[in-house]
Amino acid sequence: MVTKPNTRDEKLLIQYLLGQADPEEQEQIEQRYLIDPEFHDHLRAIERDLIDQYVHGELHDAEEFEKQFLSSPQRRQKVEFARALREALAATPAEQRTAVPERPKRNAAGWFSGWRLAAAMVVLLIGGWLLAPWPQRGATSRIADTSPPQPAEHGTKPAPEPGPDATLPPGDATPIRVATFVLLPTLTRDGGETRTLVIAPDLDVRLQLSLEAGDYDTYRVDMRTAAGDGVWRQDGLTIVRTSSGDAVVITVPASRLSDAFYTIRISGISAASEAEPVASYYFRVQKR
Amino acid sequence: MSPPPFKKDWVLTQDAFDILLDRLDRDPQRAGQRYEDIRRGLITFFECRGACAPDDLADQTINRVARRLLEGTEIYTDNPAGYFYGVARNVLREQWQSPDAVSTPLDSLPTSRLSDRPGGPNDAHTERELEEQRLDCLDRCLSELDLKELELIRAYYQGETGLKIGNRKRLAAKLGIAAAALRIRALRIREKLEQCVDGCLSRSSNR
Repeated sequence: MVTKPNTRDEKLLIQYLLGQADPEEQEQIEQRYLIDPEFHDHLRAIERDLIDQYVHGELHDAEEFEKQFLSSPQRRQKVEFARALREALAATPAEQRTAVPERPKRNAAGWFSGWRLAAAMVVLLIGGWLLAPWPQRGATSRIADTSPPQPAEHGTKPAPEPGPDATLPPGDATPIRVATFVLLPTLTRDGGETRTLVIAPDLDVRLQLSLEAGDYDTYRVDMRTAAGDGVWRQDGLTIVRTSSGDAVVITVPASRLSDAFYTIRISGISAASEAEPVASYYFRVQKR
Repeated sequence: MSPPPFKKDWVLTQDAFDILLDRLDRDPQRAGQRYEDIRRGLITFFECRGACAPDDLADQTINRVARRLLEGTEIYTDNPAGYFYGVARNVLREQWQSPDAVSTPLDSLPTSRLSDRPGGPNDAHTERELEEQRLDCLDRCLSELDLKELELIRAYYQGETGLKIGNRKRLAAKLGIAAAALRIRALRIREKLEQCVDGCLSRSSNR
């Protein structure tokens, strides 16, 4: 859930939690929550919302969040708990499922039938660049793959060059927890080479699915293997503005991925709650 | 001549604790609640200020206040929590100035996963084990919730993005409470689960 603070208090508390409040505000907030338990509850609830947004890949200030929350064991435990809670609740029956198990019970008869598949897609790997609607890149934002960015091809657009602050990991650098990739929609099948995402086995993968803003309020993402097995499904997504343009962003846990070919299909959810195909993406994952 | 540094190993005696509670409130039950509220607030303070051991520093702060009260210091304020804040800031400053204080830049932290398990090797296999243990513990803790709590927490986190907001509004209306109150109820259950999972993980690591 993207929580837009609608009160000045809430905005200040978010700034405080992200270490962005000025000293005077910081002191006022601290004195207040020490004196007022209800205000303290409010702060803690906002903190949990921030953590949930981060875990769902919905946080715009992810870098600031990571600086504050991942340098402390106690706060990191809260983040880990949030991940576990998401997974535990997604595994239970609910009106809206957030994930499809790796071995679904249905027998997919060929998910690609009726699709116009394409191979002219470029997977753009930005060395040392974490792509999202985040303003800056720091030394902590490294991604797993050190492959050079692929040249733009027909029907695709290149990602921006890494800025001066980007750091390329050395060849033997240990990757950090999220690898981000920009995927462009697959246009036609032209027999070209399928793009490969090379990731470390314990990384979550954040996929930025470039998409022109359309007429839909929300989108559904359905990710499957070439055999049609469900891998990841997420509803209620919206288009976010990134440095590469508009996109739908999902974060897929490392445990869901293996060396395989995958297809992602985005559907727009109409006013009549019907899913209408919008775009598809085709790629391969290789774990190193 | 500056006063000697506060002895960190001073132990809170029963007498000092009783005096502290009495200063917080004459009613023992309310005093106990205020003590808990202040301690939680101090932990949040130290966490948000980036201290490594917020629980220990919170207890250190409380011990210091209790010792001063035992020694006859008067707290001239309507709300003693404000006094605790001043002491906490001193404790934090001493922590940062201590030669034992270690600042760990984010880059040098283990990068394979987020969480730390004291004393354990930090490799991918161990991290996955820990993740599995955490999930097992969470399943167990969820099963220990009473039915209403379980239903509430499931309903609260149901759906994604835009759908979740609508779900929560409907849930609050169904329960006959304001959205803010629902948020706090969910927070309490979540914190209960967090503590339960922490306890479960600690017991697993001690086996």
